[in-house]
Order: sequence, then C-alpha cells, then structure tokens
Amino acid sequence: MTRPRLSLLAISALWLSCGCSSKAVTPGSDTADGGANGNGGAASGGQPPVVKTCPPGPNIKTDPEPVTVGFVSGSIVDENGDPTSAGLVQVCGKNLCLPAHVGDDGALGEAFNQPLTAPLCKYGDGFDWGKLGVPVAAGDSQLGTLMTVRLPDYAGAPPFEPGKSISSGGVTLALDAGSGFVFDGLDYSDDQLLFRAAALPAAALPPLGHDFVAGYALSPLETHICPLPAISIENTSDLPAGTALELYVLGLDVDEKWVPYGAWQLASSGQVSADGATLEFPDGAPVLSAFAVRVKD
Amino acid sequence: MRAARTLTGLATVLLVACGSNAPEVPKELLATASDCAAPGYPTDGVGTEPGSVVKNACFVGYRAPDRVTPTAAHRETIAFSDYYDPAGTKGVSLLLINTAAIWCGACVVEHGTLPEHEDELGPEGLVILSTLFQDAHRDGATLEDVERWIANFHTNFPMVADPAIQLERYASADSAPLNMLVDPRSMKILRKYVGDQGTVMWPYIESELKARGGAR
Repeated sequence: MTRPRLSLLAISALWLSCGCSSKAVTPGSDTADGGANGNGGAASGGQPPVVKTCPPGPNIKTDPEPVTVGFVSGSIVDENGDPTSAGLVQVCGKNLCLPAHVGDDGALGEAFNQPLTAPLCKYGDGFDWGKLGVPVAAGDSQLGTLMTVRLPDYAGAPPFEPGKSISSGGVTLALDAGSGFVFDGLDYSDDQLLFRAAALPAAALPPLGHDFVAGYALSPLETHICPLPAISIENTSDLPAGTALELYVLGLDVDEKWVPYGAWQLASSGQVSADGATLEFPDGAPVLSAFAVRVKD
Repeated sequence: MRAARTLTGLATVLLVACGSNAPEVPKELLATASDCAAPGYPTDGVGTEPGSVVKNACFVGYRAPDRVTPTAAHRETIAFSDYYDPAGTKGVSLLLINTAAIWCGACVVEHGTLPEHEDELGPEGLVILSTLFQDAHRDGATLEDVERWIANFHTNFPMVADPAIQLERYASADSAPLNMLVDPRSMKILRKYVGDQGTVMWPYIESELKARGGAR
C-alpha cells in the first residue's frame, strides 16, 4: 500500500484494545476523532475515549520523469538466506505497479518494459513479511540478493494504546497518553492493527545503501502516530555508548504523505544510550515503514 | 490467520473447484445471465479497443454509496447497460469505467481525487463506474473490501466488486488502473488509459463533456 494512501482509517487505540470497530475519516484530513462520530462506543460503556487529532502530513509531491524499466533480475531470500517469494514482489512506480512473478525459488527475472516514475522493487508483503524496497534504474537491472524477514506473529503483538510503551522485535515506541493514530485501513483489517517489528540481518542491509548499521521492518505500514513517539531500539550492533546516530525511514507509499516515494528520508537524530543498551531517537519518525540506522558523520 | 485463510481456501477448492483454474468467486458476486440480460444493448462491433463496442458486463456493488448506505442489504447488480443511453434520456453524456485494486498505489491515489471529479463533472453528464478487483494480497476483492474502500474514499459514484476481473479483456490487471471512456449513445470505447494518466485524461473528459453540451 501502500496505501494510503491514501485515504486512511483513524482508530481509537482504546477502542482497538476493546475490540471495537474502526472509523473512516475524510481522505487527506488524517483526523482521528473516534469520540465524536464513533461507531459502537467504548466497550466499557463509558464515555468514548478522546483521541487527539493528528495534523496532516507534509504531502511531499515529487514529480520524477518516467524511465523505462527493462529486464529486472535478482533473488529474494529470507532471514536464513533461503529462497522465498516473501508474499509479494512488485516493481512499482508512482504511476504503475507491476507484479514480479517470484515463486518459492525466490528467482526474480522479468522483462517489464514499461515507463515507471521512481520505480522501486518492493519485496515482502507487509503482513507476514517485512516490506522493503530498492530503486530500479532505467534499462536492465541486476538487483542481486535481496533479503527480507518474517514479521512476528499477530498473537502476542501489542495494540497501539496511548500512554503505553509497546515493543516488538527490539523496537519500542513510547506512546504519549494523548496519542492519536492514523492507520491504513485499506490494507489492514482491524485485527491486524498491532505493532510488529523484526530486525533485518546484516546481510539485508547492503542493498539498501547508505551504510546502514541496523535495519527494521515494521507493521502496520503507513501508521502515523501523533505526537511522534520516542523510539528505542536494542543495540544489537554493539555500537559504543554515546555514538551519534541518524534514523531513516523508507518511503513505500506513492501518495508521499510523509516520506518521498522510494527514498530513505532522515527522520531524526539520536544516540546510543549511556549504558550502551539501546539506540535512542526521542523525536521518533513520522510513519511506520522500514527503519534503518546510520552512524552520523 | 494466514493458516486459517489457507485452510478455508483449500476446503473451498476441494468442494467447488476441483480441477478448475478459474478464480474462486463467491456466489453472491456472480451476477447471473438473466441479471445481465439487456435487450437493445448493442452487440455488433464488440471489441476491446477504441472504436469498438464495450461488451455488456454485470457486477454486484453499490450504485449510489453516498446516498444509500453500502451494506449487504443494499447490494445490487450493476451493468454497463444501465448507462447505455442511445437517446440521451438518462442524462449520461460520458461513461468512465475505472478499475482499482487495494495493492495498486496509483489506484489508491487516483481514488483520492475521483469524488471531487464526480462532484464537478457529474452534473455535466459524466458517470464514473469503478470496479475493485483485488485486495492487498492480490486475492479477489470482496464486497466487504468494496465497503471499506467506499468508506475510506467517501465514494460518490457506482462502485462494484470484480473478483473475476472481467475487465482484464481491456487491459492487464497488472497494469491497473485502467480508465476507459465510453460513449453512452453507442457504447463505443472512446479512449483507454492504462496506469495513472490523469494529467491527460481529465482535460480530455472535460473537453468531451463540453462538446457534448452536458446532458443532466
């Protein structure tokens, strides 16, 4: 999805945790006023929760020239290096999204021969697999080995609940007590709106470029939380305490509401905690997507 | 969840589709031949390219989702023939047949703008009929998917499910969206746009509506 996309679905996290249903909002408004126009009310029977209104994104609109993508080849592997179709592989521009017919052997080899704007090879479906992407150039491209990871099971994954710190796969989001949430309600059903993250193995990072030292696939993609939650990541890369860092987020959404499509955008600066245990990004990131960490120059 | 879906799908296949490569389409989404009967609908010159007549097709969905709540009780069969207007008595000046899928980012972006175009050009005689054919996993779209789509975009024009991808005869589903402009007087295809081509399509629609003088 991308989606969103879009037109998004706003949901009260409290309602979510109570099993209540979601609520559509005006496309582009990104508001979450579950209490005002709610459908069903709080399960407790009390007042509907007051959910903060999220301001709209910057709506970055890039306008790249289309390029004709030719034969694209490569291989998709899982976190163990075994071939996989990763649920879904596509070569998508802003104008057109073409499926790559990758089977269980993980082999990508397809002639697209279409003009695409900002073409990106997306691998992983964002549901069972982490969704990542690498740019595709004009003409023929050999993308090499692209690695993604299985996302954690939905069972046990935490809901988005204001005032709580929620963790998955080594990533922790500190949610403000007055948090608002804007979800991609087209791609994800209500029961899939749980926080899930998985660390990318070191072998997954080089194709992403930028000298990243760590990377994570998150879900549900395109989730916007306001105010932005502080992000804490386990220091599995053994970076020294105090190391200055940068957090990047990948633009997977052609609507570019938060991040330019196909680009890794700097989301915030941070550092390794004093005890060396975590990577701290107090200013967070605008949207849940693929995250990557780079040591600041 | 995926395992459950797989088991359900497997059971369905064993029960109803043994040996068939046809997409599994829920019965409620299959408009019957009698539903689709349209005496008087042109049958000569049927084809898939501009200049030829678009073959009649029937779908299940919602005709006026902004006025009638899109729930199971309000589903109806909607056909291209509903908009065949040889004498101009229905007020249809131009029919825009659109395809969309949840996995299709360009479709999603496009539908963010379609209600506004409908507001602006509907009174000039433009009818938009959109078909949602697949979900985020590239599985056939359900009417529940259509309902979520409508809620998400505040869709104000006919919107149907097309899990059998009936419109693939006009363009590969892989290259969605397809936008096909049809002359309601003859049901001949005027233009086909594959992929997001709004910058050229909407000026054409506006000029065509102006040339036709507006029928509503």
